[in-house]
Amino acid sequence: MVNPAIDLVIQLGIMFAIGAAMAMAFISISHLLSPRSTNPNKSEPYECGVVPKSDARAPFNVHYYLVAVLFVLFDLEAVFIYPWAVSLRTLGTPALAEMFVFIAILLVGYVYAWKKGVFEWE
Amino acid sequence: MTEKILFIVFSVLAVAGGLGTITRKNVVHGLLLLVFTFLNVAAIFFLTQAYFLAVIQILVYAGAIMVLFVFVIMLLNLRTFEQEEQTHRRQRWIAAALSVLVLVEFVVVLAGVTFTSVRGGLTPETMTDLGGGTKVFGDALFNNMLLPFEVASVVLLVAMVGAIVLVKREKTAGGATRAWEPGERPTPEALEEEV
Repeated sequence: MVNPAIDLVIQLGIMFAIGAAMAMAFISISHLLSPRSTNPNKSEPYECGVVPKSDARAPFNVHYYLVAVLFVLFDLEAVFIYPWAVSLRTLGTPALAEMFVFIAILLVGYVYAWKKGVFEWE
Repeated sequence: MTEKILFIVFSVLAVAGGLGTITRKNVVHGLLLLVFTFLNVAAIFFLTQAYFLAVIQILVYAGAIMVLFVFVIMLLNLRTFEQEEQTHRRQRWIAAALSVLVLVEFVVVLAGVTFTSVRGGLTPETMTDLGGGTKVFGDALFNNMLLPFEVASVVLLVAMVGAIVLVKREKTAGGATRAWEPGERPTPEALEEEV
């Protein structure tokens, strides 16, 4: 038995390998060929924002986490839509109605989030 | 033969990534190794012709779940596990014992299982005849598994509402509560006031 996935895996592997090789080649070529001069002033974030004062890992607003959770939940909703889209032609109208029920239930959560002001930044 | 070699390569990389995840001192390094593990598991799914599962593995685990982990790391302000190591020393052995137990459980359960459907055994050939794994999954989901599918939407809704209720503070009559600024740690007095 020949597994048709093997060819695909090898093709994808070649694609990833070429992609990684190109990225590494660009970085290493510019690293090898570019002229370099070191100067403490060059390491400063000149016109690239404020000078960093504290550690980057500061505790931050929990609001970001809420947005991330909502993203994960709607992402999972999208997962169910893929097989639905593939099977819809054979399943017909009932499946269309079922998906509308599914989305309607999740839309309740979306409206709740909206009303609670989750999408507003203070 | 090629199949076997590819499977061994991906599974060795996945296990190595998993071991790296639990041994790194820096949690962000551990997270990156976890994503590496997820990608290798996706490759194994791909190799078994479960293309839908492979894409979902990348989309949900390497994408969305990874985002959640990043936010948890930033929220908890974890640096290294040095402090935790001293308080959770005994937990390590309990965790190791439980892991072995789960492994044995998996082996025992999966060794005795054959995956079948109403149309007979679900071999890769029958899957291809039926229009591919995604289509088989879709047909099953919207025919026999309709109730679990709709229940899933309710579960997602519960998670959504739960997260909002836990995070969003109600504006009280006494004084308007405010969101904590980035980098600010609430003092005990301020928290008392909020209650």
